[in-house]
Amino acid sequence: MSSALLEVRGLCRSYGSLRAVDDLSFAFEKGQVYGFIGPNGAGKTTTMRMLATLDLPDGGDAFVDGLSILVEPRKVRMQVGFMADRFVPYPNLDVVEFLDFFARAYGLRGRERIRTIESVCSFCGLDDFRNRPSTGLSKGMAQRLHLAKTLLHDPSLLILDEPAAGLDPHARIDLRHLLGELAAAGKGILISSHILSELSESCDGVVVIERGRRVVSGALDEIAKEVREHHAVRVRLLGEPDEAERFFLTQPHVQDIQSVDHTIEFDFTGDEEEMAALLQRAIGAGLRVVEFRQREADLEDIFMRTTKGKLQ
Amino acid sequence: MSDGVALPERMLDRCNPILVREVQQAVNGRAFLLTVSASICCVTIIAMVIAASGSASGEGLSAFIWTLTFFVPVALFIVPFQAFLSTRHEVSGGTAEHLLLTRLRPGAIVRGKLLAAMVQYLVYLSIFAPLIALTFLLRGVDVPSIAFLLGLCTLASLCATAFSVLLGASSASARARTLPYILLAVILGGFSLSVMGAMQTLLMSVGFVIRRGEFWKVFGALSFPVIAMLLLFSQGAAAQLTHAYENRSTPFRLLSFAAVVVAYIWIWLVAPPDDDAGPAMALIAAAIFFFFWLFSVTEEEQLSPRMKTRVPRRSWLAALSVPFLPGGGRGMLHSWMVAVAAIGGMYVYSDLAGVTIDQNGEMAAWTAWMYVMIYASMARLLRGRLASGERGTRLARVATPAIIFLLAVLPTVFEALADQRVRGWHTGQIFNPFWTIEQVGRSRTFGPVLSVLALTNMLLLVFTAPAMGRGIVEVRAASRARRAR
Repeated sequence: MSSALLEVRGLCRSYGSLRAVDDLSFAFEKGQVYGFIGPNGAGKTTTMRMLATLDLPDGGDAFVDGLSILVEPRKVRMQVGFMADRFVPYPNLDVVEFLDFFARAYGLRGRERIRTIESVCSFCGLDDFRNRPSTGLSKGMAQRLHLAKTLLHDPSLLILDEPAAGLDPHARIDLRHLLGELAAAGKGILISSHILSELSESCDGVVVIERGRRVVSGALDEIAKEVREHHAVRVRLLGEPDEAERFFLTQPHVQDIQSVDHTIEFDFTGDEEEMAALLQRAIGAGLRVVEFRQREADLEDIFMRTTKGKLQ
Repeated sequence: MSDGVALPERMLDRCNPILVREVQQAVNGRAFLLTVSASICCVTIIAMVIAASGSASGEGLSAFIWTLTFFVPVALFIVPFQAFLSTRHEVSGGTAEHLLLTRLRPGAIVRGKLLAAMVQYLVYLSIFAPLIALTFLLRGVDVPSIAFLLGLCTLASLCATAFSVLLGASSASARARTLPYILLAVILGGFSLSVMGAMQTLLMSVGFVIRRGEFWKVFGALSFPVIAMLLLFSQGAAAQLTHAYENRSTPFRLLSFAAVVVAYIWIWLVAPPDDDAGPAMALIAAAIFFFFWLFSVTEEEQLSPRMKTRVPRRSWLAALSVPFLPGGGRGMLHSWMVAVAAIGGMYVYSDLAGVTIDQNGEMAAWTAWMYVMIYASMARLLRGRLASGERGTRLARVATPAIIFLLAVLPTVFEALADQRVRGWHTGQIFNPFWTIEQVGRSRTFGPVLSVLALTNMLLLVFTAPAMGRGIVEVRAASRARRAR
């Protein structure tokens, strides 16, 4: 028996002749945050809806804490918190009344319900907004309310579809902190977003899909190693950059040089010994090197290198 | 255990969450308060008019009619429309899907909405209640009449609410923005106006019925179709709220089969024995069953992966469940089963009631059910030719009534164009079910026509039998797979 919190096995979903999700498999464990990225129309929302039991796969299955989404959807729903990309609160209800309704709908009763509402309000920073109309909140606060609603039944897996869309930088940072705390509390999180810089800071791993198929998945640092065959080197200098550019152009293993102001970036095909030798030669040639570092591949690099941006 | 929570809170915990929320929304919102204020104004005005006009004998009747004239639009228009607005908001905003992820089932959501509507209805009724009591004191209307009309009004309000919830759940498409509002306003407005218009006649008839001591019989006769429609609309609304890939079919199949059986039992127990009652019930069942078979036989043939995991494990239970599980082939089996129940029920009823079936009625009932099976088979074959997926299903559901309409109308149109007149019924009209059934019901010379219809049915049975067979095999395989797991 696998210990994975979420295990997706050969999931397929077609709409007529369109194969929206095609033999998709990946897995991750409790306490991990996984980014789910892909171009528009790649099948992210379809996959997330299937995992939340709102859609049915044509083939394959997925298991949340060992429960099949196909066979035991009702049990899965109690394990999963799904935050859809669309959220329309009820009119004529304030924040607490809104949460109270969903708490009742999740079967919470009496003191337990009241305690849970207080705790999610406090966790999501909604304490000062408890008596505000749920339809009169800013986008950031509405997303907090949406998250609070998603947490009411204490799910072990959170599926968040574009939760940061439309949020200002402050709200995004707040959301990132909330997700970090949830992961620290042992919840698994699958999150889709087009804001890759945000994801790279909060994710332990990533699943990249394109045209319904998995392109790459796994821990971020491992994928970064896989994706980059070359070292990306960044050199910052004092003095004339043209002279430095000419120098690097003549050096072995250096290619794709790009120069912006006093910074030069290039791909280095040699090993680390050869890189050290290159730095020595640069200093020997009189270049005033302030910074010389190997740049890690980020999520944007991974995304751009693994996907072709094809739509279906 | 009290759990430190106040008694009202503990009682609310036992209530349907939708009911609690809808009441909270109504209390917080302006629309409900405005309607309550308007109702109080109406009651005050009517009371003042009654007081000003003195207390002539029989004044109570006209006062009661005035009271109901104001109460009926509230009960049959405003209360259902509120339910429509709330459902539409939930479905178009995607909240209905969020609700499906909770412990609430679609049926519970619809029940919650009906209960919330009833709470509103009771609030309005309590506003009008003093006035209704006053009309009784003024004489001219008695308590059984008041109870009869208010009972029917309550059922009608529930039925209209269920219909509004159904429309709200079915009209979430962004393309259909204002049309459902207009449609519902016209339907509910027309319904309210016709009830208001028929009030005086209804009151007279009620008085007559009560004097003859047939209160419960007539109330039963009027409330049975309303309750049947209430169940149907509620189930329709629940099916609309259920996800398209879940099982929407089984409740309707059970409902339609049970309705036929219950209807025969009901006429046997309630109605006086009559030669025409059995055939009439079979004909009504054939007409109403149209909507059920149209949806069941045009479904995709195969069970969804999730449905396969829910087929009964026991082989005998799986075999019994076959006609009630989703799938077009199984829909054909279900249609045959209902046809047998409807025709068989006619004979069982006549036997139990000790009446001889009217022969023309009997033939008309047979003809109607043969048409049902012919068109159901054609719809199944058509669905089988179309591509799989929602689009093919929708196309079959639109094309089938269109084909029936064309087959019924075209011969008459051609005849009218060619001869400048329409002759009486002739063999060319054989696919016009309405005219043929009417003719069969009048004359006994339609034996050859019935033979042609029976042969057509047998031929179509040969073509649809493989789909029915596949339906059985699939359920057996799914049941075996579950047992093996």
